Amino acid sequence: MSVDQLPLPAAALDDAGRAAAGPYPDWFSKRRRGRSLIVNPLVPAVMVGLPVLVIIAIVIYPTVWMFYHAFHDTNMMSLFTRNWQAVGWDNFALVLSSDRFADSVLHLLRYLLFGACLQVLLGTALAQILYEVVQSNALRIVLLIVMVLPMMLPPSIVGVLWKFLLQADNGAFNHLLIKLGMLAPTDRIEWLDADLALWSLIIADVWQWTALPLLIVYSGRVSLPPAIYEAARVDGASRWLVLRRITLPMLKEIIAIAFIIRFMDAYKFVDKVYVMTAGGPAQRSELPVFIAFQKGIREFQVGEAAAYAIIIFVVAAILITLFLQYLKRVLKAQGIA
Amino acid sequence: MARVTLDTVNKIYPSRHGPVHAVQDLDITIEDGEFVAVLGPSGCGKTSTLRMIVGLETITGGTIRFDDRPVNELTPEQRNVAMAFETYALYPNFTIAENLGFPLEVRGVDRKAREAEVLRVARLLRIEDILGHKPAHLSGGQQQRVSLGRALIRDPAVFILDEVMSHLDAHLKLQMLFELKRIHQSMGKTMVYVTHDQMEALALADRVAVMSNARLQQFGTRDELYHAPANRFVADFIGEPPTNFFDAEVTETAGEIALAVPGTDLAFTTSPARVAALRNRGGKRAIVGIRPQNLFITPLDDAGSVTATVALNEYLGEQSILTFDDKGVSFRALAPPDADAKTGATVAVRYRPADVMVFDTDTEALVA
Ligand SMILES: Nc1ncnc2c1ncn2[C@@H]1O[C@H](COP(=O)(O)OP(=O)(O)OP(=O)(O)O)[C@@H](O)[C@H]1O
Ligand SMILES: [Mg+2]
Repeated sequence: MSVDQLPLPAAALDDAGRAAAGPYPDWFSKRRRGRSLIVNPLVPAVMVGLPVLVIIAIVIYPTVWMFYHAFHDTNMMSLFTRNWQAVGWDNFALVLSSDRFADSVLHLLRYLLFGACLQVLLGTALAQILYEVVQSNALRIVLLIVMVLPMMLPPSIVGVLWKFLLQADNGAFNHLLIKLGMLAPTDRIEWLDADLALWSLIIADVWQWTALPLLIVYSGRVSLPPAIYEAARVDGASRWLVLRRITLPMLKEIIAIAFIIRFMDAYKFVDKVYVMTAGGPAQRSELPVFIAFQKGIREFQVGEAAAYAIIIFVVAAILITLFLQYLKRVLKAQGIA
Repeated sequence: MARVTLDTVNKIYPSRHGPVHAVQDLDITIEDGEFVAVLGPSGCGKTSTLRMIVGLETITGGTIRFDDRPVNELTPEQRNVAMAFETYALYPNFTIAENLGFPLEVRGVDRKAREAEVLRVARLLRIEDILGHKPAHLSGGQQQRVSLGRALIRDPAVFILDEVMSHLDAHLKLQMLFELKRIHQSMGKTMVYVTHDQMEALALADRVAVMSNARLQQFGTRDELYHAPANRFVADFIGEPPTNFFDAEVTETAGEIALAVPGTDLAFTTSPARVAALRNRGGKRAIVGIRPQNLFITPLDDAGSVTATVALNEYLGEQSILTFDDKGVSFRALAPPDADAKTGATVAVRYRPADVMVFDTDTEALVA
């Protein structure tokens, strides 16, 4: 039987019994060829042009605008009167020499170290426990769902939630500590005040995001071949040795990728700061992105805010380049790319 | 060192399509220091048996003993067995040297001694030039030898080797078989060796356990398997080319029992012992089995021979395989390459009655 003798699918014949192009819906098969929408040369131009315009309007123009104002003394007043002066690199010098910026960088480092790292460490440990210790599949799924739930909430809502929980006077957290006898009934811990503010942010963020590295590492662990674990059992290796010599070395790239993902998120961390502490008290929980936001949107110190943004952008670009190089090496080592 | 006893061992896997009975009532006693091969077609339950001996698979029914100690509940580590896996199961993040040395690393052997051992085993298996590589970059045969080496580097009670030569070329396989035999002789350890290649099994093993369809068919020495196969399956499976089988009628003329193949001129007589057994059994029908090696071409009109027409003459270098056709019944014989047996010629084929095996038509068990 040759190809054109093969029976056509039912939908390939239109009402007149002629073969249509394929099993398409009726309206499609019956559309008038050659006189369709694409008859006007303006149509493709508009369809490509509109998105280009949108991108110019919301990406390219603001970026150019930002670079321009980073070198001018633009603020609320000069923006209003449309008379701003070029100031060269002054904005950058101002930002880089300010204590506020230096502090915020220290906060960011602390946040990355204790926030992102803790999330990845906890996530890895939980993934290992979930895979090795929890025996029942049903329980495993339930636990996974419970742990993933916080990730489904909007970060700002989580911020509000934790702000409530951590209220000094009638917050649930202090209440719990008192109930457990770890805190005198008359004492209060000012979670959102002074030195603890940044830690409270970290707690809230760890609560929300630990499940992401958990999921990533867990899926990596699941895909390791079971046979080598049988070989290790026969070889008589202890659980600890297997973890140290086999599991962790084989998961290290995946753990690194989980860290990179959390790092990128942490780098632009602003929502919970805004909701929970607003950078305070006395700027003790500020992060660079939050200052840029404050300066630009709140105080209309546009020039300085632009300098902040550009510094943040450049550092991010450098880090991303390093990450991508690492990723490429990993993929190459695994023979994927 | 251990004697390994399998006492009515069963393995049933639960699966989505219902339970799979992978091993059924297996009774085997492997003596201390014995080299036993487990031979059988794919899927007959060899790997399942090994995994139960090693302790990687729970035993659904029955008992496994090392010496006289039941080991059903013991971990692989407690049983002290070394296993080479059918799927190699090499540690992907280790180099070959690290893979080979891992069992020693686990036992706290110091680096120097470990390296010396690794080198010794690597030399034995001819993989000393790839010690620095990662497993992913090796050929199947190389990975297989590493997996074998990782088992051989240990000093366990029992060695369990699952199809460790299946990816080696014929030449290398012969060398490795020789090495393995030597290792066994010098260490004197109990070894269980799974294969579906009868050449390996017969060359290496003191005794061979033939399995089929989850059951043990026969457990015996090579001679027993060859000359007194327990049933038609073993007779068919052991020996190359496979045994010729004929559905025959038991006829008795003047007190002489003969086995005639209906519709042809073929008729066989068998040894007095088997004749007696046949008499004992009674019944009109039987299956006759005779190995191609035991059929010889002789001049025509030779008494005690059958005549047949050559349908095919396959020349294999040292030997020819002749395929005969007698009125629709075909069978094969081995002949020297210079035998005068052109296609279409009619020749006489001679056999010794002692080589004629007889099986029951219904049970397919040897009549003896
Ligand atoms: N984990 C499992 N779950 C379900 N069925 C299994 C499992 N492992 C093996 N089986 C089945 O048990 C039977 C025996 O398998 P086994 O691996 O022991 O065969 P084998 O003799 O080693 O075969 P081969 O020579 O191909 O390695 C097969 O039918 C297989 O499908
Ligand atoms: Mg197998």
